[in-house]
Amino acid sequence: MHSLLEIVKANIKYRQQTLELAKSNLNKTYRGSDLGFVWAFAKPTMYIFVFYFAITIGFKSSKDIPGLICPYFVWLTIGMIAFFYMRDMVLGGASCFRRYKPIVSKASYPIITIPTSVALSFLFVHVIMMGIGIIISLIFGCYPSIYWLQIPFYSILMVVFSIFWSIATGIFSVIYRDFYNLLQVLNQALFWLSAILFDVNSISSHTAKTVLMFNPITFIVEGYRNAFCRHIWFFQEPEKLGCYMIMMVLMIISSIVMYKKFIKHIPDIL
Amino acid sequence: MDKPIIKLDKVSKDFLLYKTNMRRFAGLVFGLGNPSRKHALKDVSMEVKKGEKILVLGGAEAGCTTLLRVICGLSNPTSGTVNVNGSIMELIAPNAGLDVEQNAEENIYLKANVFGIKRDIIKEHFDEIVEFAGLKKFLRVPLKQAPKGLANKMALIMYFLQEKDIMLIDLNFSTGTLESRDQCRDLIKQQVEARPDATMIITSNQQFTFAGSMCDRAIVLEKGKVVFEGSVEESIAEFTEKCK
Repeated sequence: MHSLLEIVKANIKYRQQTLELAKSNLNKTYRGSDLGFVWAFAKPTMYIFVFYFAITIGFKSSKDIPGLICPYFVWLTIGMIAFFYMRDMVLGGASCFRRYKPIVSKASYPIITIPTSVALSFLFVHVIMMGIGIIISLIFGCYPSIYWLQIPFYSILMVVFSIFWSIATGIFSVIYRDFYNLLQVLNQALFWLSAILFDVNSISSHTAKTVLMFNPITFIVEGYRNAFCRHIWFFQEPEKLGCYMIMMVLMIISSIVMYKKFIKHIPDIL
Repeated sequence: MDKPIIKLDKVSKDFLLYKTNMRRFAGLVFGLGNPSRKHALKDVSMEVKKGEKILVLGGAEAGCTTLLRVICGLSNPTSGTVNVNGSIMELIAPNAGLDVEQNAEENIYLKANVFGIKRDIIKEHFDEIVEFAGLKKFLRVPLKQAPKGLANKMALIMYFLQEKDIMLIDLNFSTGTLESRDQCRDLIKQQVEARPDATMIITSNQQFTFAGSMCDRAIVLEKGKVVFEGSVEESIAEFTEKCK
C-alpha cells in the first residue's frame, strides 16, 4: 500500500515533468519523417479500411451482430481504435524504461513517472483517433447519446491499467530482456485473441468466452462498442466489469511488487 | 553541533555482473547464482557540513562518480546508510535526456524537464543559454550536427538555473575548445561564489586544481576506498603522487 501511495504521489508531484516528457515522446517518435504526426493516424486508419475490405468484401462475413444499432463499419472502427491504444501500450509500456535509458541511468529523474508519460503520449493519439471515430459514426447515422458518457470511464480504466502494466513490464523487461522479445511475438496474436473482428457475445464455447472476459483488451473494446453501438451501460454487464477489475488488481499488485523489489536496480542495469 | 547535511556511514556499492540475461533474472528474482562483483565503493564514511565545498579526487574506477550517484540517489548503496538533509542538484551526465534528433531549442526544453526547471524560467534565460552554449546556428537543426561540447555547455549553464541546497558536479566532461573550457570554469567559479551557503561536492580527474580552488577540503579515493582526507593542497599532492 505504501509503495502504491509512493507511485501515486510521485505522479502527482512531478505531473508537469510527466506531461513535458509525454510531449517529447510524441516528438521523438515521429521526428525525422516528413509527414510527422500524420503517421500516427495513417497506420491505424489503413488497418481499419483493410480489415473492413477483407471481411465485408473479401470474406463476405460481416453478418449482423446482435444488438447493434449502427452499421458494422462503425462497430469495427470503434473497437479497433480502442484496440490500437492498448496494443501500443503493450509494447510501448514494456519498453518505456529502456527507451529513456539516458534519463533513467544518468539523471536524477523521477523514473516512476515515465510509464505515465508514455501512456499520456499514446492517449493524445487515441483522442484524435476517437475524434475520427466520432465523425465516422455521425456519417453513418450514429448520433451522440447519453451512453457516450461512458467513454471517459472506459478511457480512464484503460489508461490506469496501461500505466500499471508499463510499470510492471517495463521493470521486468529491463531485468530480463527476452521478456520484451516475447511480448513482441505475443502482440501479433493479441489482435486475434481479443475479439476485435468477431463478436465476443456470439461465441458458443463457454471456456473461450470466460477466457476472453479476463482479457483486459476485450473488456475495453467491448466497452467502447457498448457505448457507441449497443447502448449498454457498464453496470448492465457486472461480470465483465468484475473480471476486468480482477485483472486490474492483479496488475496493480504486480507493479507494486516489481517496483518495491527492483526499481532500485534499474539505473544500474541500464 | 550542526547536523551534517550529508552523512555517509560505511557505504559500499557493488555492481553485480551477470554473464547472461537469464542469470541476471535468476539472480535478482530468486537470489540464485554467484555473480561477479565490481566493488565500486568500500566502507566510505564521510560527513559534510552545510556550506562546505569538498573535492573528490580519484583516477579511473576509483569510485568518484559512483559516490556522487549514491549521494543523489541514482544508485542505491549495497550496504551502509546515506543521509541527505537537503535538496540536490546533480550534474553527473550533462547529455542525459538530450535527443540528438531534435533541434537545440527542443533540447533546451528537454534538458530543463530533466532538471525540473519550469518553462517560464527557461524562456527568461533562453537567449543567455543559447549565447553561452554557442547554439545560435543549431536552434533549428538536429543537435547531432552540433559539436558535442556545445550540448555539455548548454547543460552546464542550465544546471545553475536551479537553486538547491547541495550541488554535485562531475567535471569529467568535454566542453570542446580551451576557450570553451575557460568560459565554463568562469561560470562555475562565479556561480559557486554566488552561493556561499550551498554545499558542493565536485569531482574531476583532470581539472582538479581548478576544482580544488573552490573547495574547503578534499578526499582521495582509490578502488572505492577513502585513502586520504585533508586540505585541498595535501590531497592533490597525495593524488598526483599516486598517479605516478
